[in-house]
Amino acid sequence: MERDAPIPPDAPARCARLLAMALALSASATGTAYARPSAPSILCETYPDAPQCSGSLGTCATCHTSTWPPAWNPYGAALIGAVGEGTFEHALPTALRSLDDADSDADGVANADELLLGTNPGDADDAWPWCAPTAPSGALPVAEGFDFERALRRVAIVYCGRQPTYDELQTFRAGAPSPEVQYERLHATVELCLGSRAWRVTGLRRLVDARIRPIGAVGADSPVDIVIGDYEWDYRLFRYVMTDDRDVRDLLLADYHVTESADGTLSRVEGLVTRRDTTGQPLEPERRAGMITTSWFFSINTMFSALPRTTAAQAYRAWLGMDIARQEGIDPVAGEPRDVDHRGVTEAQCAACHSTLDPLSYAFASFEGIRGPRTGAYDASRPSRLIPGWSAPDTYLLGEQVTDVRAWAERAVTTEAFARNLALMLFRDALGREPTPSELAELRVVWRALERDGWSANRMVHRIVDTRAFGGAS
Amino acid sequence: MTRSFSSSGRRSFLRGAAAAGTALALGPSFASRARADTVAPRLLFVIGASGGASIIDSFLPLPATQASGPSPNELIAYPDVALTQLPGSAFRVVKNLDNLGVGGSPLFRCTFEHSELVRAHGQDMLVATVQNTSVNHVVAQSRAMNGAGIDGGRTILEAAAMTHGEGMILPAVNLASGGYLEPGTHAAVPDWARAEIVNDPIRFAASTDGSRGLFPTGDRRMPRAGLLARARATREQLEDLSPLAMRTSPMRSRYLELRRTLQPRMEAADLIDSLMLVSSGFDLAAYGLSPSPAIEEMGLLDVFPHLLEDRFQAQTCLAYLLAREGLSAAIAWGPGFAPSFLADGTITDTPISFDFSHNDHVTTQNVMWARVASQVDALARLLKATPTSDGTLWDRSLVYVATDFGRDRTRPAGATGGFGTGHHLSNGNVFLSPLLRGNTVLGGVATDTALTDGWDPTTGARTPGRNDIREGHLYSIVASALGIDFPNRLDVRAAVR
Amino acid sequence: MSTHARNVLAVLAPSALLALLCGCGAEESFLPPVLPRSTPVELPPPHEVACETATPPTPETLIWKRADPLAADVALALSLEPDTMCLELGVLPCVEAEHVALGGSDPLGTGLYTPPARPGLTTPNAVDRLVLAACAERVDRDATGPAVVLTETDLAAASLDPDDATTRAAMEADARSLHRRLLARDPSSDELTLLIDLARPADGLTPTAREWATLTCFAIGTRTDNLFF
Repeated sequence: MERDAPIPPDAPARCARLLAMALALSASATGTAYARPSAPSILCETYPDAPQCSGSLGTCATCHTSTWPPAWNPYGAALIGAVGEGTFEHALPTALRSLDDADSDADGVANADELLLGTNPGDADDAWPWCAPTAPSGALPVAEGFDFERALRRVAIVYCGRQPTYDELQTFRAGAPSPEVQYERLHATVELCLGSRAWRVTGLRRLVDARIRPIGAVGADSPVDIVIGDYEWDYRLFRYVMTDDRDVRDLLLADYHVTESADGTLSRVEGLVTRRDTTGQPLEPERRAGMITTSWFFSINTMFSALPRTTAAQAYRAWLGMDIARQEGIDPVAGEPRDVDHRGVTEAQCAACHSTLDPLSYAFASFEGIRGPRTGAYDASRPSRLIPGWSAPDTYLLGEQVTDVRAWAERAVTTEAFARNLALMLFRDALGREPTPSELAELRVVWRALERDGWSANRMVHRIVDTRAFGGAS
Repeated sequence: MTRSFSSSGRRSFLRGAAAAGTALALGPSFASRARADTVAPRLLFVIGASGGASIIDSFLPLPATQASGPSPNELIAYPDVALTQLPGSAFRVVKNLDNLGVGGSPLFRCTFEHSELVRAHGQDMLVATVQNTSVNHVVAQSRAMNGAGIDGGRTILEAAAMTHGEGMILPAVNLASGGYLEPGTHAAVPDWARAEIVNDPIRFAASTDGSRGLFPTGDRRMPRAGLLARARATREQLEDLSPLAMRTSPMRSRYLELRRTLQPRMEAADLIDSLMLVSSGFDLAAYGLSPSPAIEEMGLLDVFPHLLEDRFQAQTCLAYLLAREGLSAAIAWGPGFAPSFLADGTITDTPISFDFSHNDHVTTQNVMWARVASQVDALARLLKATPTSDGTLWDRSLVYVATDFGRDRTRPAGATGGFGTGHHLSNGNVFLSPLLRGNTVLGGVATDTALTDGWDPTTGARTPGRNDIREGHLYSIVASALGIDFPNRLDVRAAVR
Repeated sequence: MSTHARNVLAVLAPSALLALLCGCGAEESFLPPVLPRSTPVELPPPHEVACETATPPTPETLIWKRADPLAADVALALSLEPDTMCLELGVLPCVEAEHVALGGSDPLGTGLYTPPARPGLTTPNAVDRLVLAACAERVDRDATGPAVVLTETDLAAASLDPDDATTRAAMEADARSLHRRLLARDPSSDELTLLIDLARPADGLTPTAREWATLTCFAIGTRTDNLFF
């Protein structure tokens, strides 16, 4: 559906002013120009309850149809007209609130409501009339109308890899069970399936494919015997952490690796995994950070980069759910980007993302990319070896300075983004789609319970099974 | 804060829902009927050159004799002996280095002269420089397909299918890999215009029929065809009795529509034969199947001598057949990160395609560009040899050689090979089409940096020292040539005839 | 090959082949012991957006049963092996040949890390092939050896008469068995009638018992009930 943005009469002048503000160039200590795309974080400070700010940061798409060349949706265009005098950071909150009651995209939902519901106030196709879900009223944590048999069938197919048989369904129904009994039987099946081979091997591999990004041509089974790394270490670690009620924070904190015996048993391996070829894990345990410090992770992301921006971006995308390439998770750091490797990222169209991405990346520069058996190893001198004039700038993650990748990971697992990402990963896998705005509210409860549930992925699956989306009570 | 969801809002929402419903409907799109307009559909072919196909190592090289700046012998530049330029051609190209004894590799063979592409199709060839916006493979590949979001997240494949593929059986087909495979994010793209993902071109024919070829002819296990049709009819009656019929499910509705509308068309068109690439090694006749008639008619085994072993050749062949049979308006494919091997053990590609430049830049670029150029040449020759009522298929075709990004511009001083390069935003792309301004280079290469200069989208004038061309311009070039309209389309008249 | 390339290749030496232990778990049963219950968590206070004038749209309510679970279900239902119950040109498992059309991914090959979001244009064909071949194989085995699934109908018969009470009872028993095996539920009487009627002569064709059994299995196994859940 095409729309005309309601551009105010003085739009050209204001447009220029907003652009100037949005991409406000300031001089750093070294005189380098940089951009300050602070709008998403200001939006989240203004609307902290907005779903896009709950376990995530605002996205540029709230206002922009394109960040370079800059173009705005109707909400963004309306903001152009609403921004008053003063600095951008000072004027934006007032401008945002002044548009609360307006309906910039003319979809019938006021801007503030859209922000609070998680729809885009600048996109008329993105509207969702939302009614607050009723909390479970009985003893069971499921909504009225929850379809236990349907949920059982889903549990079986998603987590056991096959549907329940006729006889198993008869057993489930035996004795005209009460909802409480059905609930117990359902979750017993969940527990059983989470221990099945279909989930522990096939399902969990499927879940993490896009995060590991294996390449068969250069993996351990390389048909040309050109092996840059063995991603099976990554798969095994993920499968280990995600099973048996282990602490999912080990996805980013594990200082161990995992092997698999012939019978499928996964076991921890402590210490270095030294190999003459590229299939080992040469990183010292004290520097490890689970999935983001494996040899394969560095080989496929850092490759030969001096400043491994792709590595940091993938860590941010895969485990905190924010894709900087899609203008998600933009959280600029003052004085950044400083363009330590002279890639021209201070140009306005680059700085919008690199003011977040570069300070996210610095700590990763001390780990080798593709370098034979040393791939993924730590070398404090690597950045200065590869980047002339390297001054070890500070690394930042979500507004906090971190000293190294281990600290990066420790900070990451404390964020709501980590739990949210895990919940969304499991939800998408189970339901095959994104949650609706209504479902997101229920899902928020799921991820906020992660700590209470002992950081167990299995417990999170149990909670997802309880949702309306899964049980058909939507 | 209390707000109401106004009645106008509801209307707005319902309007949206109705639009979504329309988008899901398949009837008009897959109905077997003549197109309402008389304009023959234009055809888009996208080759995703995975890993970073560098324009300065193929169709826009910097001659070493022109390299300047503080360290000219550290810029990636080619000696005159490695370059060729045909008379009257705008393109100076890198030669097949294997034939020169410089660079090259006994493991990875270069099998084509880039200049052959220019010789045969140079008048329809356009090189346009670009400054990409990502050096992440997946992100960059995705942006090469969606113009970095210039069309609201629609991919160029989806846009071409929506404009030219309505009513076709397989409007868009994607055989590529990685980010080139990613579907668009524009909500308004109807399901029928989303690309059908095909990961194996050889086996694809089998999936165009629900039963043929499952068993040898006369096998006792196979029910007679007429009876199978009856069983399908019964199945449709059973669907009406399904417990699922009570549920709101666009996915199930679409599936039923595909099964009721498209499957019969696909089977009636005998695609399992017309797209069958297997012509040897299996007794197809015993299974009641036959190779595509085009294999013999067009000499496809001569054009694609390693059809069954070389995935890239098989992809190109299938792309041609899809276009020739009028089945598709938009097709993407290309060498992914997994190389192919011939029966004698020869590897046809470098591992991880163009990205092997990390290890050996010159050899990789030469080998992989030759691979791409040879397939573009093969496709263009076939399209030119395929007559239509008013010319040939080539007259309404466009080939876009998409790639992730460029590569670093420097080498160890004086090195002629054996060095690796990283990813770089500076690059350029190759297009071929009679719909474009042919024999044209838009932009150029700066002699002191080997970076690409940009160009003025309306005049074509080179912009020395600056490159403001982005993925959205590339997208707009294709869209303009194919008559695809969208609100943010850039004026790139310098590229279009 | 350049010296540098040789060095790189020398460094990147061949490595051990790691066996990938994958499989579809059809080995466990779902007999429920006792389990822990989730601790209720308070819902966050809802933002007040009046909803009396509009009903939220219903999201997609079904999930696609993709390649591996579909193959596992068909194989389990018909007591066949997933890798051999359907072979393209007699050699290649259909579930492998049509993996993406059936909703699978291809992470190690084409880098298709995320499978198709919804069924594609050729998915109905791929489903038909998989189920038809499996059904035909099951019927053939039951007709030529000890019957496992179709135990009641005389599969050697040249035709079946649904109006003959004995024959009909056998057909209904087998149709019901197929229904239970493939869809995990009993057919309604209307569904049963439609399936039995497949045996009647029409358009000059009278199905053999084997054909009826195969097509009944096919009609049940390719229903959307077996593809979405």
